[in-house]
Amino acid sequence: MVSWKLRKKFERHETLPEPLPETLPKTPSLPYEILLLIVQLSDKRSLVRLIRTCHRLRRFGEPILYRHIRAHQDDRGRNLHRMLVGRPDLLPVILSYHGPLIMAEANDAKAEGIISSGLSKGEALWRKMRIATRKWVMNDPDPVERAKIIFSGAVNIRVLHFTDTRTNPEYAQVFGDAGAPLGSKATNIQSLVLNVGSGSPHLALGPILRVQLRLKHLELRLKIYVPIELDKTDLPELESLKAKLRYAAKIVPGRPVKRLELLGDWRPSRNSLQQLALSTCGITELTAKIGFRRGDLRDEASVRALAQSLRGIERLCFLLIGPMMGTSLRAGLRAYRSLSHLTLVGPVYWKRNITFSDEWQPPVPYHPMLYARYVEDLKASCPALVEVCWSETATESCCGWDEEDPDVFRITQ
Amino acid sequence: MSAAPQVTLESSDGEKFKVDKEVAERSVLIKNMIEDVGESDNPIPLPNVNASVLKKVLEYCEHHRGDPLPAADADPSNDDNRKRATEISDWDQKFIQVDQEMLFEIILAANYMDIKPLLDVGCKTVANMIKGKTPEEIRKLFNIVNDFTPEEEAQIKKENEWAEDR
Repeated sequence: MVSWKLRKKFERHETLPEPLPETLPKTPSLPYEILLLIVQLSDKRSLVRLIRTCHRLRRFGEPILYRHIRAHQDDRGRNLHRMLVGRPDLLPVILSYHGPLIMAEANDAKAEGIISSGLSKGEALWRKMRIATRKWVMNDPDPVERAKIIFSGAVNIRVLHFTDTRTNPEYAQVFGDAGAPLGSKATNIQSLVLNVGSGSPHLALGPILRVQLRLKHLELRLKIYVPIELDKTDLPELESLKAKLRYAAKIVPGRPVKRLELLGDWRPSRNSLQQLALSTCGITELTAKIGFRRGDLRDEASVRALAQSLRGIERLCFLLIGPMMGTSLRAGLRAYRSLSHLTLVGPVYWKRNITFSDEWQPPVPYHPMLYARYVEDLKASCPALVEVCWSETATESCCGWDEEDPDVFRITQ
Repeated sequence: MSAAPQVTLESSDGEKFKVDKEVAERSVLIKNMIEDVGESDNPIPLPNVNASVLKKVLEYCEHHRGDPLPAADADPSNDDNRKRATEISDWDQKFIQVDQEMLFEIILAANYMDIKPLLDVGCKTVANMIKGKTPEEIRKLFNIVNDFTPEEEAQIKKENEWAEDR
């Protein structure tokens, strides 16, 4: 027996299955309402196993499993896309998708070529293909069509992270057309990552972004510059942006962006106007790659230029892509008057006249005493500084000055 | 100073349990009954819970008597609520270390008596029991009849492979 409260809850539940006919298996020891609770508490792997036990649990479990999809460019991912095309009922349950927009189908293209060519060589190849593969090729629409169907049906999607790395001219077909699925239906996206190759010169980002009134995080990984035309009222809730400086200068002004991560290399002289465009913004957190080979003066100028454009930075993370002199870095950091948290990832050198041929090997070992002195000196310029984290790579520690937390130097009064 | 008010609960097999009202009211069912009927010396019947299970349930209620009550509208399908609910406290873990039959009985009783935190602990424990089990083992655990054809089974396995760990 199940209490009325639970029944009431299930009535509200969108995925509640209809009453089942008597022919379905009888209830196990626990009522299905309770099994649904268990399904909701299960990890993804267990959920898959539960779905495979019987029709009823499949109906309970699939809408939960398909809320968050993480797919890869492989057979499993292709099966997923194929399945979703045939299951439009699952598309509205998708809340987040992390994976390729288009599952590349080398075999499809090849097979289509073979079928259409009708040449003796092609026919021989076609005969060699397994029957199952032939069926797939014959029955399925191509990958772009699948992408169109999936992402036009996933109208409730909130997090959309595309991981495509291949140049794919078909992106424009999915996104860029006047009736782009994202532009017309999925308007509730809060986090969007676009990873678009150089094969999409006609991709129009404006129409895609314009309808996303609730977008909070945007990440643009574009190999070429795609013009963006946005009105002042577009992206009113954008809080976080990860993109090249050129995009940041275009997107950030006039929007409530607090966090900015600059992608790619940049140089202050070339991009000074774009930096100026950022100067009126309320950004308080910045992550940027910095450091050029053999160029201490330019390093310092880069660090200073960013500070002049972004005066309210409180949390700063520099990914040092080349060796950098500690003195230059310190001189540049002095410009960040509001800085409270500093993270440095990468090699910093402590001696002048070092040999750059072996630049990824620090000539001086990192030492707690050196950093303690360094941080204290920095604090004189940045009075709000409370924490400095530093590691050689983003994931590895490079010094052991504090046994409990080797990467972090906390300033104590 | 007067003693804490008490109520008497009667299990399906007729055993009576006198407990503090505060403890009994961890059950929303009992709380509502007391509110509807008013305080009375008559025992509150619980026809779906036998004495051994009721004793266990009351042990849980006694231990958690001072805990804040969960929000009535907390939706377990919400991911945030799920995340919040993933951990079981040490005491609860020890409490729920019972045989499978008793575990299922406790879950059923918690559901019937509307004691959401206990229902959560039970369901989480079962969710942990499922970890690493094959579909066939899960069927045995829950007494589920496999109503898939072999073709359907193969198809579902293939469709959901993307979600398998790699």
